[in-house]
Amino acid sequence: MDTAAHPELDHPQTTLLLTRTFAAPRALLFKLWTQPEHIVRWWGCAETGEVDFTNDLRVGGEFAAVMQLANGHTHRITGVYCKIEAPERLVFTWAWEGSDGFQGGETLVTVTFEDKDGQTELTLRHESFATEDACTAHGEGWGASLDRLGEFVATL
Amino acid sequence: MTTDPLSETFQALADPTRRAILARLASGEASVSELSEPFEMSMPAISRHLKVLERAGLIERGRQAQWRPCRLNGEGLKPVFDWIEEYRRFWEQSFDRLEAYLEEIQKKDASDERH
Repeated sequence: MDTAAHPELDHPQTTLLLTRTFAAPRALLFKLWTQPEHIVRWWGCAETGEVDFTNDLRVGGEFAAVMQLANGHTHRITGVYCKIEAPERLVFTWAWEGSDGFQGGETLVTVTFEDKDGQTELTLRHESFATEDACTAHGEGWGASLDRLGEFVATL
Repeated sequence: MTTDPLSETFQALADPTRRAILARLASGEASVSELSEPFEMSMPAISRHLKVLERAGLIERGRQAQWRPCRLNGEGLKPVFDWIEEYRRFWEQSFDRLEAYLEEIQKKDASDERH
């Protein structure tokens, strides 16, 4: 199989890679990804319900999304902006926190917006682990050993 | 803060030495002294890391008194790798909503221009 055509195969289990083309210029998409009044209109999955989103849009600034789930629970996603390169790239850390005290590990999200003749190809890379200082040490650390573990788990 | 099993697993993984130990164990079981070889670390220090990994259910240790081989516990690792599916669902559905929202605001902009 040609892995160049399927980049997700390079990181079988530890990295989520999604690509979608949107019929809009990337400046508009970047705005929709960074301004809370827009973010609350699309952020979340079926169970998410109403989202309260606040952010301090600068490198090192934090964001918080509080979501009321249909089952009465509250979910919080918090993170720190690592890179803000309008209209091309947005990098931020991401951690789940549930009202039951659940804490997910810190993860890292990289969103790139590529211009395709006025449309935008959006690529989202969500790495299942971030190093403690993911903002400064992006890309370091988890890679190889976790991929090996992912392969190991895949054989079970 | 409540520590649920998955968080304990994530915390156990949040250390480069422990990740390296797990990667080594992915290719077969090993003793503490074998595991400590690649690191500039004493055996007691390695033992402490192994305890963290064992508590998180990521490794199992043999019960022989002298030579307690460590091996990877795949079942303990699986939830970590399954976690990725949660993100996939979250983002795929967000993208669907983003698409619909984009259409809505672009229509609105177009009709604003006409008026």
